[in-house]
Amino acid sequence: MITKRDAVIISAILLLSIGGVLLPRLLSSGGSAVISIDGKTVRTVSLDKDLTFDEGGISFEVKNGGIAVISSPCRDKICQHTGYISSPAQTIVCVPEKMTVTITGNSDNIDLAVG
Amino acid sequence: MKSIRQITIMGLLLALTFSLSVLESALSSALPAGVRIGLANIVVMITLLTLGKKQAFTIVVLKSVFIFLTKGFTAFLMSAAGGILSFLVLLALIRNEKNSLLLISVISALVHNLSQLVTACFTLGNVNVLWYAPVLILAGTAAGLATGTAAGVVLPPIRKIIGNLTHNQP
Repeated sequence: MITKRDAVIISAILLLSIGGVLLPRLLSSGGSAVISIDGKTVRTVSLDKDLTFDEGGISFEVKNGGIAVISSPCRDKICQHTGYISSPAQTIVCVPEKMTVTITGNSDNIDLAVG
Repeated sequence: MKSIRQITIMGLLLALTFSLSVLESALSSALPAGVRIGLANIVVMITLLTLGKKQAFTIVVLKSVFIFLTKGFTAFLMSAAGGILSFLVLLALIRNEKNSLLLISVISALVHNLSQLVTACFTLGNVNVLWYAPVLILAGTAAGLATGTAAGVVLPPIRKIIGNLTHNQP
């Protein structure tokens, strides 16, 4: 069914990918979220203050240093199911709405947060 | 080598592919975003190993068309990009007899997931989605193992059935 060489290759792939999944969790959390629609940044919010807002028809909530999509007009709601993100290595994505949310920097480095 | 029997078999395989596609859509709500099991790949691999390259490629193309008709353009792009690239990789891997079915299945599943990730980058206009790559690689490996095992189990009986049918042509 499977040769020894192939078993080794597959195990290597598995170990590397598990490492790749765990690594972002260990990175320190950042301080602000960037919301981009259709390739253009539409809003940057600091994660320090709890906040609820709308952008491009999608509702977001900042809470406890994280941000999540609360509601979106898309069909599959994958963005909603992603839940809260708080570290620069995480992203929320909505392909039909061409929207992404990314985390950048630490609060200390931000001079001004718009929104 | 067109025969009524082969056309019929292709029809059955296609119907199977479509049903698996619908099943996978239903299951996808229970899985994390973008994680695909790739059940249709079982049919593609089996068709490749019993009927041939052209037939297997037909399945890949028509499956993407089915996705287009049922789930829309974005889904179609994902399915086509992933399907075609993983099929090319499938062809390359199958040439080397040392590659076991499980390895081929895992790698083609990985290629499929990663091509979809890249397609998503183009669709979205930015590369931020790439952070999701490790999760997809993990899920793709698991999926590849599952579908590879399924294909391995189903292959001998199907070989017997299709072998008998295509050899008994009038």
